[in-house]
Amino acid sequence: VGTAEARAGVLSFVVEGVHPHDVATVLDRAGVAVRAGHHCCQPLMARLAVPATVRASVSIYNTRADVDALVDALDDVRTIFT
Amino acid sequence: VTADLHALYEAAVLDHSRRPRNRRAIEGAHRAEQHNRMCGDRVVVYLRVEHDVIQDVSFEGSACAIAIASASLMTEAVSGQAVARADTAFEGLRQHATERSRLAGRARRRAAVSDSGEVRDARVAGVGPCDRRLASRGVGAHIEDQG
Repeated sequence: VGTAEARAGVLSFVVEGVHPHDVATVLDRAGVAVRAGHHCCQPLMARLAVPATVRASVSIYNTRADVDALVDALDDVRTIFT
Repeated sequence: VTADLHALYEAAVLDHSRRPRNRRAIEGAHRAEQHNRMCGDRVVVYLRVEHDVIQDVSFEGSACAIAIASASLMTEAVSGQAVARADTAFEGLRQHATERSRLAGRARRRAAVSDSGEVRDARVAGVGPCDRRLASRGVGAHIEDQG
């Protein structure tokens, strides 16, 4: 709860040249749970000209180690697909 | 990078998803478009047929690595083939993919339902979303075998 306008623990992103579903598969195998897809907002996806996005949501339950695991797994994504 | 990731994204899949073959439009050709609303995959296939032989085949679209690789492998497999032969290949491939999917689903349902028919896990007893992905991998491998 707060008054800051730009504050959220939700981060949507894409990895250039890799489909979000492939990103999510690799993250999943590394034990990192994210959502990939349209997030029920196809018009926005069309507006942003992306096929889908990956979405990581962090909350009070997550630790720095969780975020490190996400970043490490994203390195795996690049290793595999690019 | 774990072994099962290597199994899913095998060399042929990675090669064809990084450098898809025949990813282009063909002017004035047969054109078919499919959009999978479940996952957002969109693939257009172009086909130029003369004297019942596939003279040229190509595709465009956006999809995951496995779907793109499948389309790419498919164009290589059917290019230059008689339409009837491509039909036969497709039918074999369809059976291969759906049979794998069906058997996997049946095995999972068996595990979820006890001998007396009691449902232990209603979620698993239904249809799993992963089948399609695994089946499409089988499709890619099958085309490669034929090529």
